[in-house]
Amino acid sequence: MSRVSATLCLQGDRMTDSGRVLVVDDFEMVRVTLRECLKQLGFSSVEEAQDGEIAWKMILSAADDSQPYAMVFADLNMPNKNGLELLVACRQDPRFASLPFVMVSAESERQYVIQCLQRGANDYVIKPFSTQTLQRKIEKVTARLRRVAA
Amino acid sequence: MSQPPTLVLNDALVKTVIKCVQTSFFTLFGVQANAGTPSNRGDYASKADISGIMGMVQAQIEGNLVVSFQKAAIFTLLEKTYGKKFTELNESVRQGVGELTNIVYSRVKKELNDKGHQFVMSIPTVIIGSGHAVYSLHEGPTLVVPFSIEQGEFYVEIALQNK
Repeated sequence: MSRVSATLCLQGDRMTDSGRVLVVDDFEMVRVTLRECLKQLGFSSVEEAQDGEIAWKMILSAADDSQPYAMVFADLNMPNKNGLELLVACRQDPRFASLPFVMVSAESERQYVIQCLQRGANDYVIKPFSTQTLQRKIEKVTARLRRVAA
Repeated sequence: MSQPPTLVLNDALVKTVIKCVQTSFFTLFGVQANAGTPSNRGDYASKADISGIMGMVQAQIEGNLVVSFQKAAIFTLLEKTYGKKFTELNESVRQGVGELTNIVYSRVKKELNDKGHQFVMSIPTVIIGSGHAVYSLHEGPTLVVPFSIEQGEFYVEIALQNK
């Protein structure tokens, strides 16, 4: 079982983690909303990036420091490196091939969701979202990872 | 590719806009946005303090979707997200209006595209200025739906014309 999937688990109705979570969105309001939702769900270490380029550097740096991110939530449409480009960069690097990656976007049309899942996203959250929706998605992703790892 | 159906500023579009706005605002802020009486006017320009604009483009139609806020309304909404008071139209407010406009447009676009339209993604523009007016230089009417929340009002406008 990979370290990443082992760091996320459910304790009662709260998620607990021993790792870091990265939130990537060019809009501050969304980053704040995600951060607060994740904190409510029990994630204590939530870091933020404004675009995919900055996020990619943070992902590489975290891995180099042997403290990789446990999960990434990334907006689909961003300047510099968008969410899909960030996802592809992760999946092409063996170190991040199984990094739990959830795409977050206001785009709710099927074609965007399918494209992201086909490129390796573990799930897709449509904005606006509630804490409950986010929790369901995280539980789904972690449950799937546990099944794969078992 | 088949041609998209004609889009007119009618009751069906009003219902779509109201549903998308109310769902978005309730999910984001836990706020009930009450829709007022919509109007369909030829020379409308609402007065607001900050507005987000998204281009609505497809093969046969072009136009704009505008979400305009009075200061009190946007400050009240964003305070729910940030947990702090806002007193000026700063970068956080600009970004918030941009993202809110993007979310409303994305919802409206999805509803319309499910009915055969082919609207594409676009990038929000935000305009700031106390009591500013947004004039859409297009041919035809502008659909305006006013909304009120506990403190303040905001407006959603759609202006469309055939290419």
